[in-house]
Amino acid sequence: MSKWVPVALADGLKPGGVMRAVVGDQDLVVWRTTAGAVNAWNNRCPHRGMRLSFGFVRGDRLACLYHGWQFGADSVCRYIPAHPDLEPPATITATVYGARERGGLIWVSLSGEGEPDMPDIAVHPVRSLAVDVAPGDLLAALRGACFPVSETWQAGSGTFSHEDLGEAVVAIDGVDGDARCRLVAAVQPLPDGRAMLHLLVDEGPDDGPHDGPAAALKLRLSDWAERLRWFLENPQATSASWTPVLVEERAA
Amino acid sequence: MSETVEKKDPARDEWYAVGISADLRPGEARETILVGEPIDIRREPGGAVIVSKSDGRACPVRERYGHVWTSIGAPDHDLFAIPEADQEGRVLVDVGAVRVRCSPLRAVENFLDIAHFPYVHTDILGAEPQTEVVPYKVHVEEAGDEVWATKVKFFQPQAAKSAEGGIVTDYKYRVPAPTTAILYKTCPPRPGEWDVITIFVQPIAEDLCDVWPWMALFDEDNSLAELIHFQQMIFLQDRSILENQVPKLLPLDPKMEIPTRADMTSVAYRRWLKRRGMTYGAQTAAA
Ligand code: FES
Ligand SMILES: [Fe+2]
Repeated sequence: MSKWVPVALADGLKPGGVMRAVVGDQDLVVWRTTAGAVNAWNNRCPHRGMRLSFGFVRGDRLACLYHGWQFGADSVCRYIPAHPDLEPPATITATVYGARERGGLIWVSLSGEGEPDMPDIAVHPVRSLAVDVAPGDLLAALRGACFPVSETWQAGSGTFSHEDLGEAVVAIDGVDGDARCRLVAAVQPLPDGRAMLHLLVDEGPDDGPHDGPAAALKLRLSDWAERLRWFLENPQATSASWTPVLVEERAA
Repeated sequence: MSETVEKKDPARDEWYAVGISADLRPGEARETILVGEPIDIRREPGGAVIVSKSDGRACPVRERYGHVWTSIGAPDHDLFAIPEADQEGRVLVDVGAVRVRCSPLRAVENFLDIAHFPYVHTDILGAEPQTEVVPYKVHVEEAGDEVWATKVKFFQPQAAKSAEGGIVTDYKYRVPAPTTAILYKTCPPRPGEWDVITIFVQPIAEDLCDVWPWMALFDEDNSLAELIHFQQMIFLQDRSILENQVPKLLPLDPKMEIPTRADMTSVAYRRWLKRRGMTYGAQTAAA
């Protein structure tokens, strides 16, 4: 049975947006209606095989770039521009996969069975970035990661606890003096063996008005994610050459 | 038995354009790949073109329609005729190769398609809301075993370099060989005549080809450079489609893709390929 896989930050796919995702050896188009609903289909138009991820959204339909065939959110072809007066046969459909929004992420599943393995918590998007290590290694690193909780955070200070929110999601709680911050990291296996890191943040209930994290915090965490990537992709790197990203870092 | 009888192979026993004649000067040579086989093309100081395989064996050669034509097999027919090539007053335009990572057959099929004009060549060869493809005629001409589509009409905002404003353009399509397609279209400066626009597709592999567009036009207003630029722009737009069709090979099994009435030419082309056994660049069974 195929599992649910996080393929994007929910915020990264705007209403009317279209993107491509590859899960295992299956090529998918993931798109959002202008009203906001997310869909995941086989990335292939049933007419002449064009990748639907090149298409465009009109209202609640996805249109193929090649000949403009329009498919409703139920995947049924609704309009064939070459024959404007024809009602397309209901048998013309795209192949549908499971799509969900949960925990600030877009999840897809080839079988569509069950639900994504993550609680539906409220978190804010930071960024996604590809890391040239195996997904399992990235998850292992995240389970021992530390990060700059505040602007004044220094290597060695603060306490960090780690919790698996699901098979592919790790939460890292950092406390440094009065400052506290929860990072949520989801890992997506990429077809080339690399891993995609989707990073979110929850400032916790004490952070005043909930209009999203400060730009400075996002920037700090975004920098941290790049440092983590650099560290993991360069096994010879040591904490002497870098602000630590792991609680127990490789000794010099 | 060490001797192998050369079996007939529709892909090998066919003529293909492999270069522009004018670009190959006496004493010059170039290498290319045709249907998976490396070949060497060379113009002798005396002017004759020699095409040879890596084992030195010579291939048949023709120079016609601005291009050098050859075959790695043994064609049992001569190169098809394009009578318009010799008609007085036409500008003959060698556009130059466009390399496309797609099946040579997908490249031809796309060239035979009009329904994509409003979406792929937006505001040039077509525009919404004039997207309708009205019924046209398709037949296989028995004598030459060619696929023809006639009485094709489509609205074009800028039908050709020499057209100003939108017009309903008339077209005819002709497929004289599996990887050659000829388009005849209304010729704005000369009512009653047809502009001729062709693609000669050189299969390199089943999923890789060089497309050599060639034109024979009545056009007094535009420079050769402008005509070439216009046609190249159109082909680059097509390339972004062709490199993103799945599967890469052209499906000959009718269950694999869903045509409508607008695709009659494509349906006839696929059937014709199947009947001829031309499966190089094609997928014959549903995946
Ligand atoms: S291939 Fe999608 S509309 Fe034709
Ligand atoms: Fe085109």
